[in-house]
Amino acid sequence: MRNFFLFLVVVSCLMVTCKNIETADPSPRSTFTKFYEGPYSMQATALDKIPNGFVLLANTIAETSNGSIAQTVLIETDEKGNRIGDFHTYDNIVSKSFKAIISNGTVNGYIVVGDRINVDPTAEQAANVVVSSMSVLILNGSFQELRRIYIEDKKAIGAGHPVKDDFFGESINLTGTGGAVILGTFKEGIVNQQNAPAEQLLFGLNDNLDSAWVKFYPLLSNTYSNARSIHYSNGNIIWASAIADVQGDFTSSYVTVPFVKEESVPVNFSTLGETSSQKFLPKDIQPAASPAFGFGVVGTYSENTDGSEGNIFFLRVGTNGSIIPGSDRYFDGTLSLTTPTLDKNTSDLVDEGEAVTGTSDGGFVLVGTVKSNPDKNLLVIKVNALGDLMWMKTFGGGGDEIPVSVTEASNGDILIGGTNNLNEYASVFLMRMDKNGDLKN
Amino acid sequence: MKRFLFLIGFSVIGIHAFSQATNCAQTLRLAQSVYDQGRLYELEDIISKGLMVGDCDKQTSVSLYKLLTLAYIYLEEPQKADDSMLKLLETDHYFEINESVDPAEFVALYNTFRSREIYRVGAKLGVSASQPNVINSVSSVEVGADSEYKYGIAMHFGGAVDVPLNDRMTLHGELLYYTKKFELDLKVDRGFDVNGAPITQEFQGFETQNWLSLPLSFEYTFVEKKYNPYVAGGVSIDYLLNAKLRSERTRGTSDAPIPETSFDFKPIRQNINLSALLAAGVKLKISGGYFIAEVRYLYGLTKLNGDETAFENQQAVWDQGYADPVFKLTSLALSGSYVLNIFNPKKNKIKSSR
Repeated sequence: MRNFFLFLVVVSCLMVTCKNIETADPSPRSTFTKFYEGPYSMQATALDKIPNGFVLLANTIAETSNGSIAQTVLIETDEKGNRIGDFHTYDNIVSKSFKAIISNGTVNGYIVVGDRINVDPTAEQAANVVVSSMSVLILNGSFQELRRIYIEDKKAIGAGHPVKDDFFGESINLTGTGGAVILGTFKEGIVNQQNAPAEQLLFGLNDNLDSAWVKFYPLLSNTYSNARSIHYSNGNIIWASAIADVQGDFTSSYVTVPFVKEESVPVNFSTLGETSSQKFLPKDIQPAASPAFGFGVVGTYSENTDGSEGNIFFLRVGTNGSIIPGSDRYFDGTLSLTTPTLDKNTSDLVDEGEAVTGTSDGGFVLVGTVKSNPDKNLLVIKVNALGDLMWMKTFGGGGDEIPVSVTEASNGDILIGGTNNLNEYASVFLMRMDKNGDLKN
Repeated sequence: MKRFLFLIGFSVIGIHAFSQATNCAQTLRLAQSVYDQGRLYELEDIISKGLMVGDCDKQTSVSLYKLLTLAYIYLEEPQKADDSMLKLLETDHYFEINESVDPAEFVALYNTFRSREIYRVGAKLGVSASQPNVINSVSSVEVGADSEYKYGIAMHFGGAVDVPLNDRMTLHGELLYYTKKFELDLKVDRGFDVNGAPITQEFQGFETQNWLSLPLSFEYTFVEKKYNPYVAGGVSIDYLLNAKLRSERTRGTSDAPIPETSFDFKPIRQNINLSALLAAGVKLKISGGYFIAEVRYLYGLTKLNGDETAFENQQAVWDQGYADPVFKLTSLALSGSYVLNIFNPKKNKIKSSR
């Protein structure tokens, strides 16, 4: 009998030493898919690297005792995607882009760019119901708000100024000398008209991150749609846009890459697809790993202007801002698996390009979505320096997985930030895969 | 008329059976008398005829064979004595000598035979509680407090074989269809709603695995009493037949839940699993075998999954927020089985000494 009790004691000890979820050691793996779920739906807008981790930018609509309020959310994580600290929230800004200010391996602050939106349902003019102002939020390294800068229509509504102008902040980058340059759009208020053509504007911040200059780049009857990035190097500024020609229900667009000197007119204005009708919408432009190799641009191309035959396109831009002829490549979520070199007008599924990053091997990683009814899944495409397909992978479940940013980690891993929208609740995701697109190690 | 015929038939059968028993009993009394008078040469003929006449009952047959064996011993007919002893043991597997009464020569001869059961076969039925022993936690969500694996109860059944090595040691094997279940409760604290009430995402998953299990163990019976208590140790080699995760995810009170979904997890589970086993139980002798009640602890030695497949089931990851932690499986089982003794008596080989 004594032996029997001894057996039970041994068994009990073994049971106690078993580890559960909370007590087990974390896996040593480096790749992951991580979701950040807040009290309300969150839509990711950007991702940036910081020393020893990452920061995600998102928007949410919070419910308060005074009603709904737009909030920007910043989420800091470590290298393994574990959130550090709380969700950092900031009221009354719909964010689109941000940059961490890093000096000597330390984050000194963040600049967030977006819009402040004022809604007046009782406004007499349709254009005054919703009025946007470019909003620049400046934080210290501990995510504490220091101040905000606005570009807005300050004139009061009156007989001589019946409609407010709209300003939108869209992307930001640092100048490398302490300042920053912000890409935005401007829409002039027009009487009895809800929408006006969007014009581009650049907004410069000086070394103290104070307002320094604003430069407008108007078009005549067309409208701009800017990609999510802007780059600054030695006084040169480059970004990508779509120029859209709206005629009735049809919007034909083409790619343009403005290349300007600081506070100056464009010195280059390279275009693609200007003479044909299609949807040609760049969404991101990023430098190659080596600056000498210029930039890569990703976006959506569709022969039909409604985007129903969407393919992801990639093209290269030289250091002088010129689109390299013949560098454009097109990818379809299914057809490219068997036909690496795809004709741009051949499409099976509706694919949309969203973001791009240069990789240390000289190539690029493109991310976008592939729509297999009714859901959008994340599509990741690796191309070499010429834009030729190396591999392509799809990720996702029953909801919509929409990437907003991709970047390369110091060890070559690929980081993708985005939104997972499932049954009308959206969360932010951060995905880390190895350089081959696998989540195995 | 029919009743009359039935009565006659029944009487004939009864009389025949009685006469046989009577014949055997008479033969035994005659043989015992002849043996007591020392007329050993006559015994072979008397007993052989008696046994040939009809169906002697087991006890009478054993007594006849015993007398015949003794006769052969004293007649110095060792081969015939062996044959007779073998027939005795084949007639009654549970025959036991009485050393204080039986002649020493008979005892000595008996001890040269294998009289114990050579193995036992039977069936087993039981229930077990299984729970993962997490080696490396992997998660795709921000795991909140009170997230845990919980044990699940499932059944197992199959066949069992015992090979007695000696009075106390037994080699034991089983082939079982073994179902293991466990539950995972993953909570995510999303913060608070406008009224200050906490908002929680809760994943509830139930994994069911069906295994073909081959446990092998050594049993040691430390007291030979009525219940024959024993302890055992060994290993279990299991082959995974299938594994399914059935889960759903609630998302606070205001957001739509993710409905219950079933995922095939066999592709991300190891097909072979090794476990160490410790067991304790009792064996109760019933009829020609044993009823065995046992409590068994299985400690997983090998991981059931690898780190590399944690995010492989994309639907589970993206819809339910489930990434697969690396774990081993432990189980505590209660079972009952019945094993039947199988005998094959024979003369032990005598080692030649030079």
